[in-house]
Amino acid sequence: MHRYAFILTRPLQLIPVLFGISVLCFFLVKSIPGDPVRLLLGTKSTPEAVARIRAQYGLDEPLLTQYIYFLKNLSAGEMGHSLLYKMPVLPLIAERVVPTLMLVVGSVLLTLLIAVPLASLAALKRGTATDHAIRGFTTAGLGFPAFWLGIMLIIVFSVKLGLFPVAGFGESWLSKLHHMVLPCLTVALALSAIVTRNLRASMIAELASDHATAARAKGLPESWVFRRHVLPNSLIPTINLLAINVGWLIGGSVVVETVFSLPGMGQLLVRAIFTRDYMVVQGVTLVFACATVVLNFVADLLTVAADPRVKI
Amino acid sequence: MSVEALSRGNWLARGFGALGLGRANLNLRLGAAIIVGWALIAVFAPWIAPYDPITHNLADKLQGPSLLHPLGTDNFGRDILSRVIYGARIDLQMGVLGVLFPFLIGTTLGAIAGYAGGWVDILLMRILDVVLAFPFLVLMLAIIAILQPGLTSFYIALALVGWVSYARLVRAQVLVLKTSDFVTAARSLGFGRFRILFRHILPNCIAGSIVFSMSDVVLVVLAGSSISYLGLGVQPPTAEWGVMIAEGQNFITTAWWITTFPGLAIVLMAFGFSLLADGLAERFGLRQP
Amino acid sequence: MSLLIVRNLSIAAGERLLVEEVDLDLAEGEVLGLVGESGSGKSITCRALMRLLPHDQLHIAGGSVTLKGRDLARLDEAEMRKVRGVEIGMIFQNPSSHLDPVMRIGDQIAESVRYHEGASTKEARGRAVELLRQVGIPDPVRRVSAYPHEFSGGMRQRAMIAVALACRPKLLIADEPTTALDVTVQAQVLRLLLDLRDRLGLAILLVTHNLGVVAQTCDSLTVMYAGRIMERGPKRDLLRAPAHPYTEALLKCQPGSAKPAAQLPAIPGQPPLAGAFPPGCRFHPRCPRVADICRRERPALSPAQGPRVAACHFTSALRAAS
Repeated sequence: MHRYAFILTRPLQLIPVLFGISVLCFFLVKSIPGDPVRLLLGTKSTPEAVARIRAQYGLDEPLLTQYIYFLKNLSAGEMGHSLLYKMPVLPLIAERVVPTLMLVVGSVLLTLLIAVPLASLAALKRGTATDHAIRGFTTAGLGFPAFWLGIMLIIVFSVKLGLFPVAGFGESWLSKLHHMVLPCLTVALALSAIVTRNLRASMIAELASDHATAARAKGLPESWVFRRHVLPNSLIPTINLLAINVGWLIGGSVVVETVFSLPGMGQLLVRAIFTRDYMVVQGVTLVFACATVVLNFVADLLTVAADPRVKI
Repeated sequence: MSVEALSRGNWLARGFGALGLGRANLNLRLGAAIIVGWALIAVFAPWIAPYDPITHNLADKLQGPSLLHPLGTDNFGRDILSRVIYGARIDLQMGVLGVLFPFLIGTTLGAIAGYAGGWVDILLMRILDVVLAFPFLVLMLAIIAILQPGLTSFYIALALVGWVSYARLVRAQVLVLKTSDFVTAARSLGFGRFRILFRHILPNCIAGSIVFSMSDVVLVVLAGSSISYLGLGVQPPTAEWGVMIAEGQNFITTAWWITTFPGLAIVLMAFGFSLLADGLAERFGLRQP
Repeated sequence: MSLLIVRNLSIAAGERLLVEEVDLDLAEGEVLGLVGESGSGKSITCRALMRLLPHDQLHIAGGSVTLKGRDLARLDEAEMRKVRGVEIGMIFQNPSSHLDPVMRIGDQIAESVRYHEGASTKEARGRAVELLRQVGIPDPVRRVSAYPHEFSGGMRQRAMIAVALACRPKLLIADEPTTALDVTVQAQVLRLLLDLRDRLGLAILLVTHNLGVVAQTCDSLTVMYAGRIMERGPKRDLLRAPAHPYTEALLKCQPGSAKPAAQLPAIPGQPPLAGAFPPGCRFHPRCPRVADICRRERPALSPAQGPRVAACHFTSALRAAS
């Protein structure tokens, strides 16, 4: 079978998980105490609207039927209405995708930008003061609360040095990027602690590997051996590590969006919780869960692309 | 780490000797010292703290670090040091209780699923896959949204979400131990299923869960303070580090100390548990040092 | 005229000497077998010739390694890099682990050409195809883009030979090149090495513990035990009438030398651990001819017969016996 055949078969295997996600999200809203119509429409509801909602969600039917209604609405892109924003949930979320996506992708890129040089330095200068300092960072970095780190970065880079905006999201793409630097750095500093730690260990193993010795026997300089042989081989487990941390990454972005007032999905979620805008909570949770599944799939793709031996 | 500091840690090492941790390594000692330190601060908070953590004193508001207020005061004139000291009570409690419930639930369910096998196991693994598909913090927030913000909701949400890691860990080990010789021996002696599971198998696979729970405490403390920071966990005016940071964020241009010191407290506590986890892992031979 | 002359080479781990007073001579087109049990120091001797010892653990403690009149032990690292791969190629015991698993075979061959000769990607690839053809890999144009895991064990060793020969070195160091391979494949790889020797005028230093391999390929032999040379000379003489009891014992242990159905004899005892060598003759604890003098005095390498030298107090006695 072709190595990339899983692109076709994997979505089928994911059906049970996606099914489970929908069930959980369904029950999440079901378990809210009180009259569901009230929750969905707020206090100022007209009798017609109440009747419409009851019919749309089948609220008088048995639970199973209600779930089928839920799936039916979902497949039509219908995730209910936001009480606060007075608009359907799906377009509301769609408006908020860009900042979150930029934050997640930017954080991963920045993480690699930090972790690869640090891990290389630690692995090449193993046992020196540099190595110990970097290892100290990896142990301490895990315990840095993202929201606090973000505020510290704001104090230093925005308030004191005036290099970056304190909060918000710009209009032009350039300004947006400028606004993204500190949020991405916040997430990346914590994530790069884990990545550096693991990358350092695999680099040390690869530096001592037989194929690195064979490359040296070809007369290649150490820098070439490192770049062409040690680095590619030690980056492969890093892809998997990032995949494991996708959930953490999204959770972290929720908090960081609040710190920097980024108009993303995470901020939408937190506001919705405060305003008891339950359909939005449900919608965002659903989208985040599906995004996690998709990102794990992407990680598998990257692993297959990076490592010719892997078959999924 | 100086030699004196090491020798000062000796009384701790002796304390561990009694607990069978005599040859404690450096990570373990340092981590334990930090956590014991926080525990003492939490227990003796009313005696250590120079001021009341809650009472407003507007005359002293927004003062920088000084001899009177070593870590400064916030916008209500409350002493940051006192609030950090009282905060240790809440945050330490969050870390310990927040791990305890998932640990108990996850270990029990994982052990039963692994030992029973069959449809029980399949069902549990499916639930596990679904819960793991959600970003940890997002699912917790969704559950808290339904319950209502507060510390109790935090514990409930954590118990509902956090057990999966323990269940998976224990189930994998039970599957291995189930077929081992000593279990076969116990079975041939006619011991009951539950006796074998809880008296023979579980004690042998608990070490991995304990080590994991130590590194989990770090995540739980961070999650708890994050949720409180968002305003969905511990509610003001309670002195909790995440809450303090949220309150101080409005004053970052003028009073950096309000946000800085509670954050450092979180970092120090998390660092202590990280070291403890590393040290325990090393001790139980579960990970390369 | 000798291509490679090694004199008095010793290798140490810290203060402990692991290899002492090793002399080797290798002429163009010659195949020299370096034979000994594992732990005899033959592999680290090879690494030392390439100056590829793990420098935090092992170092060259003395002696000279002269290649075409230049002492390699005195070159700096940059000059040494121009020797590795260009003047000396090296192949290893386990081709699976010595090839980079995530780099195409062709690129692994081409990279030294690109680095040392500044060849373009296209030229280097052409050379890779040509080399794969030379080492007998079918359909090289297609195989050049394959990854190591897509090759069989024997093909991987052929590919590694191609990697080692990429910059047309005159000397090939082969460290147990057939040990990890099936017997049938072993013979093919050895035939390939001899074929390359004939076509390219290659000198080969063949390290092995297998005297069967030696019998098929080598011109001359050097036998090492516990970090020292025990015996040295032309292959035919050595295999027919060994001058050292250790060589004799090794020969007796080869399958085929014993009577059918009889148990294969083994040398009694274990070789000493590196650096913890016994005084006197290092082989004396396991030697059937051990005498008092063996425990006290270390025998020097002395002429035994014709061009042969051996380090045994009883060399002449042995000869008389045979």
